[in-house]
Amino acid sequence: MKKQGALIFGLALLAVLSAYAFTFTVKYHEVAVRSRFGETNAESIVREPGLNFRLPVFIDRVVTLDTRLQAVETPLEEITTADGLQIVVQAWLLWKVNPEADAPLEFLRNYGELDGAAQPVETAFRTATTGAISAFPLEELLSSGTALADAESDMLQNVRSALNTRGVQCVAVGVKRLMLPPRTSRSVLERMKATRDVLARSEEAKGKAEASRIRAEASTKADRIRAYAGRRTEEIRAEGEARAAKYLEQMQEEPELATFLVWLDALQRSLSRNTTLILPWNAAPWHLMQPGTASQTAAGVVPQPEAVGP
Amino acid sequence: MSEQDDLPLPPPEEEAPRRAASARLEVRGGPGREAMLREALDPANQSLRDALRLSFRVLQMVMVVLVVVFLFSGLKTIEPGQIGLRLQLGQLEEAALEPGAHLALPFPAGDVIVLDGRGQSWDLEDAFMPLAATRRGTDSATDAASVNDFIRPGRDGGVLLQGADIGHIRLRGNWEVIEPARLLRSVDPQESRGSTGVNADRLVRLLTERAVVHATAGRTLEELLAFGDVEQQEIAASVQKGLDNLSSGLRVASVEFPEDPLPALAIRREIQALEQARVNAVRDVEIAREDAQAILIDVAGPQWEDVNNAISAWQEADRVGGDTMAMQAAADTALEADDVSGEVASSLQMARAYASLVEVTLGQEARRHEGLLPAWREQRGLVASRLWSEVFANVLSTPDVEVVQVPESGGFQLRLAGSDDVQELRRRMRLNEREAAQMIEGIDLDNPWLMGASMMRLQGPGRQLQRDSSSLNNPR
Repeated sequence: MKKQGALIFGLALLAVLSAYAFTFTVKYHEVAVRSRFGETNAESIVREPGLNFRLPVFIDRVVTLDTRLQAVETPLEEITTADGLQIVVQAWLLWKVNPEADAPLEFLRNYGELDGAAQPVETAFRTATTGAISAFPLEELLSSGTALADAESDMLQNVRSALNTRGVQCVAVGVKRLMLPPRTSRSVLERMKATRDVLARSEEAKGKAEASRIRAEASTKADRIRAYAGRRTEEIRAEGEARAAKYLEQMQEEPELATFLVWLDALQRSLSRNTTLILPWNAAPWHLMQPGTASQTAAGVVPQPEAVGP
Repeated sequence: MSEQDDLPLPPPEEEAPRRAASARLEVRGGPGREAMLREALDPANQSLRDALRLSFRVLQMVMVVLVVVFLFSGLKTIEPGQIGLRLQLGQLEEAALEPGAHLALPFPAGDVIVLDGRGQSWDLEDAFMPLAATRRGTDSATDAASVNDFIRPGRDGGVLLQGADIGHIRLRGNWEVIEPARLLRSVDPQESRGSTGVNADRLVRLLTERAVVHATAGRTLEELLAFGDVEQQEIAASVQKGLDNLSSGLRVASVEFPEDPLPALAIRREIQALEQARVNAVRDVEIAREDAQAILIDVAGPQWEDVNNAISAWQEADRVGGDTMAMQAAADTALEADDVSGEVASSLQMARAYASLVEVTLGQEARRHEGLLPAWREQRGLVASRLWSEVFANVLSTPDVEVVQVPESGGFQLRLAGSDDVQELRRRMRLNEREAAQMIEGIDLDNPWLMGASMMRLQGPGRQLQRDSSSLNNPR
């Protein structure tokens, strides 16, 4: 019984060790190259993830390559643009091991492993970056329709040309810093300061000019409205004058009556307040208060005033 | 005897003193000496056997434990907020695992990869900011900044803008994993391994820095200083586009500017002065607009624009030979509308008042004249006498008129002392007038903003004359 247990244990141990010796696993993000006695061919590449067979270590050698994204960054580099100006550029490149065709074999031949590719890829990318950026004038890189995207496209093209045959797939590039060299930045700051001073004065002057224009325009509009209103006022007055003329012409038929009416009106208005009248007692109509008036009226005689009256 | 036996022996090393023996095993010679020795050693052998058996048992148990540990090495727990993906013989299962315990094949055949499913934040604190501002704060760094200072790439961050102006900006944001399987196939989810590996955080940062450089290179400094929600969304969209192109399985949840973008610190004061100049200019223009509005409102009231437009239309019609009469009528209508006030309304009111006065005075007289004319022609004396009597009666019927009758003949001295009642009545009337004057004292009756104020005037044109043009036809 004891012996059987030991046997089972031994067999299990042997199976595990054999599994390690005769198989290898390719992960979902890897591509493997299985060389036999150092020889490789197209069938040496294993792209599909899963468990694979191999002969023991001294016959087959398996190298796995990570096919996920890798990144390299250039250092901050001074580059002369097409118009002869200096700028400082830092860029990044995202790349990965190309799993297609014989690319993994090429990668292994050129770099051996992933870390071995870092320096050559960076060097190629620096060259590509310098070449692409220096083809553009600074004015085009820093404008509303910035040519940065075109420059990046050229960078990617350049680096792909350099690394494509070496099993490296360049995926994306980007400019992460765009600055000026220190000596240039000082003169730019002085220019920016001077420009803003001028702009400040210009803005205030523009504001005052605009304010004057607005006031002048308002005055013009006001004058125009006044003028038009004046014309209309004169029209209305003229209508009144015309009616007055018509009335005067109408009263011209009997001017004596018209004059009499005006006098009466003036008299009534002038005596309408604060008036003290001193009249003779026998002036009309107070003469009707005289003794004898009753007998005269009874006889059908209208009593006449002795005084001329008020 | 060999040669070695002849060699002189090295002097024995002096042995350290030992403690005295507590027991002594003594085997004396004689028959059975071997058996006796074996018998004496049996308990030791037995002890050794027992010890070896125990060790073997322990070893067996350890191995069983190790086997069990190995078999369960694929067991992992997914906590809430985490995302788990099962890896079986190198193959990644697409479906994410729910929180809880999950078993995979033993290592290295299988594994459960655990990702943080919560939103991750990043902050490009110093990427585009000067070192001094990062260390000492923006205001303090601004006070110390000078145009003679260098901006050193590598030490100071910054962005280049249109015209090679220099600005600074700070960003931060959040990203999250939305497709974990894609993420795992694109980047290493752990910290970057080796010299070139890139993880999700670094990927987002690289793409964000690129987006910022692109967003700023095409803009002026003034545009940078006005960056807001639109630009945040623009940068977020650019980063998201990059992530999508890389099939990263990541989503940018937000991008924000924790503080306002800045110009180069050395010219920040000039920028502030420029902004102040702009504010002053805007203020000047605003004041001018208010003045202009006040001028025009003084002239024609709040609806001056309608009047102005109507007059402009009339002038334009006159210039191009259009329907001038219709345009003029429209302008007159606009000018005489009820809601027009101000100078022009006053002028028009005065003109209408004059016309109305003509109607009230001359018109009435003319109509009276016309009415009396037939009788005058037939009974001139009688009519004159009646008219005179009416006036005389009216005068005498005025309450404050007093009449003093005196004899017609002379020869007497007249001393007049008016009636107390009349004097009292006159005094009351004066008081009433004074009170009425005090009521409107201090009120600007000509102010067009005090609608109808001029109607409070006790003398002058009446209310209807001011407000209603129909009064021309129907004076009151």
